[in-house]
Formats: sequence, C-alpha cells, structure tokens
Amino acid sequence: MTIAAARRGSWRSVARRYRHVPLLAPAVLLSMAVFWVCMAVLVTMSVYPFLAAGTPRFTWVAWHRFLTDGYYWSVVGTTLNLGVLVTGLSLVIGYPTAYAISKIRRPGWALTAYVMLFAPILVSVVVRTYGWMLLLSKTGAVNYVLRSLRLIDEPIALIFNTTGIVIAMVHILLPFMVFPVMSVIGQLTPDLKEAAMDLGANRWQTFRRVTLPLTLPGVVAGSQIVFTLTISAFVTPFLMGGGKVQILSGLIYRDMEAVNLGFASVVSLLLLVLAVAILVLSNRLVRQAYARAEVSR
Amino acid sequence: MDDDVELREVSKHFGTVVAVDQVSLQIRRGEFFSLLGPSGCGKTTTLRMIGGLEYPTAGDVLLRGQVVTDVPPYRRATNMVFQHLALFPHLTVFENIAFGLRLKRVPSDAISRKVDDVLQLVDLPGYGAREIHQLSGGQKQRIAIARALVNEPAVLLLDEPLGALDLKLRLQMQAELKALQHRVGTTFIYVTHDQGEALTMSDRIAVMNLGRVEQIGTSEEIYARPQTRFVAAFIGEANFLEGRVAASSADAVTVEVDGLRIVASVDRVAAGPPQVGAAVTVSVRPEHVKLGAAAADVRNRWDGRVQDVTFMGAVVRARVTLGSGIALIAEVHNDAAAGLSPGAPVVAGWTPGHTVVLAR
Repeated sequence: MTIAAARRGSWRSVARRYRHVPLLAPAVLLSMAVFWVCMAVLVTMSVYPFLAAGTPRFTWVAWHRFLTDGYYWSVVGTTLNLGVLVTGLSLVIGYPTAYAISKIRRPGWALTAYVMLFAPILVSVVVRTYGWMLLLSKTGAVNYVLRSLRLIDEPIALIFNTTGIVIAMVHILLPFMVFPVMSVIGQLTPDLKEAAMDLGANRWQTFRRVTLPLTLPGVVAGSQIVFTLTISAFVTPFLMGGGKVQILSGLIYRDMEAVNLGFASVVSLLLLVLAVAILVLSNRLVRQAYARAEVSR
Repeated sequence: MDDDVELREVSKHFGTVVAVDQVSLQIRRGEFFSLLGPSGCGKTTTLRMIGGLEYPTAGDVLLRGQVVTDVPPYRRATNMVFQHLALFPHLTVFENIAFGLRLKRVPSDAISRKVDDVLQLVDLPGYGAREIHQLSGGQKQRIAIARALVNEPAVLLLDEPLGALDLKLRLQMQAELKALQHRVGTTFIYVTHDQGEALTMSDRIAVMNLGRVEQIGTSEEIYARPQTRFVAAFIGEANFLEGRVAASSADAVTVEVDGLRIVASVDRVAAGPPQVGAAVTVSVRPEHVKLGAAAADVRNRWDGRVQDVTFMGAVVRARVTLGSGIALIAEVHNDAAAGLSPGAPVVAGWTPGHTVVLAR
C-alpha cells in the first residue's frame, strides 16, 4: 500500500468513526442555545442588573443580599425539606407499586395498570392541581368523608400549607419514581430470588440482600428525578401553598414580577447549584455504599 | 441402605398441564443420580420439588426419612445449582459463596476458612475478590457449585448446569463434577437431557417421559436392558421390529417378525417371559448388528442387501434390507466395512443376548 492510499484509508476510517456526530447536532445546538447561553446570561445578569437609569454596572448587591439574609436561607431550607418529603413519600408508595406492576402476568391487566399510573401525565399540571384543591379544601370531598365518618370534628387544613403541596406533588411525580424502579425490577430474573431462598434466605432477607441492592440504581434514578423536579416546581407549590409556603421558585417569580432581574438570576443559579449538588452527592453516596459493602467483606 | 431422598407418588399440575405424574423414587446416600429425559418431561420440575421451589400438587417429598413437603426452600437441607447459575451480580465471588453461611450466622473467621476451602475444592483458589462478570463460563460454573456445596447440603441438586458450556469444556466439567462428587461424598441429583452426560456420570439414572419415570437403573442396565420403547430409543439408537411371540422357553423367547424367527435371551425380555402370540417389539442397537463374516456364527442371521453406506469416521453406517423387506441400520467399525457397497448382498445378524423384547 502506498503512503497516499494509507492516508486515504485512515481518512476513511476517521470519517467512519465520526459519522454519527451529525446526529448529535440538533441536541447539541439546542442545549447550547437554550441552556448554556441562558446560563451565561443569568450569571451576567446577577452581577450586571439593568438599572432604571440605563447603563449596567457591575455589583455584588444581589448576591450579598441573598447570602446574608436569614430569610432566604429559610426558603432554601423549606425547598430542600419539600424535596426530601416528596421524594421519600414517592419512594415509599412508588417502590411497592413498581414491584406489583412488574409481577402482573396478564398483558391486559398490566396495560390497565400502566394506563392508570401514567394517564395523569397527559393532564396539565394546573388542572390536576386545581383538582387536588377541590378534593382537599375545607369543604372538599376528603374533609367531607372524614367528618361523615366522625373521624374529625372540624375540617382540617389540607391546602395552603406544606401538607397540600406534598400530597399533590407526590401524585404528580409518582410516575417518575415508578418507571425507573419498574424497569430495573423487570430485569431481575426470578432465579436470583430462588437462589437466595435456596441458600437459606427468607422473603425479607431475599428482598434485603438481593432484590433491593439490585434495584438500587432504579431507586437512585427515580429519587434524583423526583427530587430535582420537586425543588424546581412552581405551579403546584404556588397554587397548593396559597402564598403561605415560600420556596425558591416562588422567589424567582416574585422578583421577576418586581422586575428585580438581578436577584431572580441569583435565585435561579442557586436552584441550579442545589440540584447539581444533590445529584453529585447522591451519586457519591451510592458509590460509597457499594464501596463500604466491598470493604466489609 | 439409607435413602437421602424419597418421592412418594409426587405429581405436579400447572393448570391443566400435568408436568409430573405420580413419580416415586428412592435416591441413596452418596449417590450420583440423574433425571434424564427430553425437554418438557418433568425432570426439572421434579428437581425443583425436591428443593422446595415448587410445591407438589399431590404426593410427598422425604429428605433423610423426614417428610419435607411443606418445608420452604430456605429451611431444606438441599442446595441447587441453577441452569443459568443465578450468581448474584452485585456481590464478589467471596460474598456469593458466603451468602448462605452469613444467613446461618456462621462466625466470620469460619466463613473465610470455609470459602477458601471450597474455592480450593473447585480449583479456583484466590478468586474470592473477583467480580462475577470477570469470570469465564467455566469459572462461573465452578463458583455456582462452590456456593451450593459450601453449605454442606444433604443433597446437591443440579439443573442442567453444563448446558451453556461448549462441548470441550462440558466434557471437562463432567469429569470434574464426577471427581468432586467422589471426594465430597454428597448425594448429587443431576438433571440433564443429554444421554451421554447421564451415562458417563451417573451411578443410577431415572429416564423420564411425559411426566412419568420410564425406568430406573444403572447406565448399563438402561442401555443394555431398556424396559420400554421410549428408553430404547432415547438412550442410544435402536432398530425396532414389530412381531409376535412364536415360542417361549426357559432360556429363550422366539419372536416372529415378517416371517423371520428372532431369538432373544430370556434376560433381555423386558416384562418377563411373555405369552405365545403376544404382540411385542424387538429392539436391536445398530452397533450390535454384525455384517458379513462377523455375522457368520450369530444365531439370528439372514441374507440381505446393502441399501446405502455412510462413512462417519470411526464407524460406518449401513442400511440393510433383509430378505422379507425389513430395513435395519447397522453400525460397524470401518475396518470391517471393506466389502460394503450399495446393492451388494450381505449377511446380517445379531446374537440373542443383544435382542431386547419390549411389550407393545
């Protein structure tokens, strides 16, 4: 083979190696335009607020205000607390649901379960939230039933507080927990559980030592999705909280309304930092859990 | 002799399908016992019922004289090597093997010792720290066996454990398994559809078909004295000739097949001396059919004609038609096949000792 031919050949192999790159282009462009450019704008705006007078001037004022005022830290606390509550409850409800659905043998029933679980996604979040408000208000169906059964004397407050937000958020985000967990449970072959039982594990030990560790990746994925969606959610906390529960997304809305763009940018960036931090932290925790298990051997 | 496992008329129905139909077995202590049959014959279901992974529809399972039908798998003194091994992918080799010991709360220094010992036993010392996905097929196989054996079960159940291996590795593992069983002395119950595997490894074999046990015996008994047509056909190969009993004496039975009178030693008659006139099937294995000079002094001997000849390496297969139109397959060593060519006349025959008479 001549040098020229070899070069042509290597060119061809390079071209072949990168031939799928154009497929990435739309996603990369979108991500660049919509995400990274916007992020750059946000960062800029957080330190160059447009003053009424005209020319932007560099200032740390927005950052300083956020980081030194205890109120804003309490809002961060409320937001994280909401994320933890919603994620925890979604997991407690979603894991058994996913497990049960993956055990359904008859295709018809499995389809019914899918439709029941995932159809609400097709309905707007606003509509579903208003639905929950109707159900949970003082004169709503839930309070009516509880009072008819004489379980309570006075109607209990189920909306315009954290309880209401959590109930509605868990309902809205449940499919995002169930789906990843279901997909990993579906990959488990029954013989692993049989092997555990054959080796002396009862049902609980089999779950604890085989099923749970093998489904952990699904649990982590589902939890991360639910958590990040919860802390950045706006419509449901806004409506169900009735202005009484302030979270970060609410701050952004308030400051945008007040054309306080610098401060809104700071809160937006902080929300992003929180989400990324939680993702990184949870990934690291899982890896450490696996590593600890290795060491204890 | 002590029985480790006994099945008393055990049946298993899945809906309307009868997977296992009133199977009774006794398996002796320290025995290498195989359940052999085609797929769907109920052998795996039978094994799973012994291990407690399937609950019998009827009948009882006994382990060392105790009825264990209602005992769940995690409290039975049996351990299983699964067909697809079912090693835990999230655990190391060490933790896979230690799984059962940890559940029994064995002290950790004893666990390390036992795991090391069993790794030595399966010839993989020092493999404890490996991940399952780092092992080859044969190594996974051994770890699966080690994981079961480390619990010192009364009975080790093996569900076609060599099925996924290539032929060469399979032959090697067969020899190793047999040697291993010899060393540890544990009762092995081995499920396979591979008759060669069952014949080479087993002390005794139960041949199963359609959920029933057709015959139980040593490899030799099953091969040389099949009790049913299914067994004769499934283990090795056989020529089947349909006829009627023409005469029966103290040491021989004569069967008339299309005018040929075939003599069988009475110990080859499956169901004891039959009545004269009874319809029977004569079974002769191809390798027992002698051709030409070799057939000169056998008792059952006729003139025939070679139909065709197939060279198969060490042996040559010839299809021969006897005078009255009976077609036979003969398998002869290739140095005895010199004169065989299609259309040539040939003498074909076999001894009464190789003539099996099956009830029809």
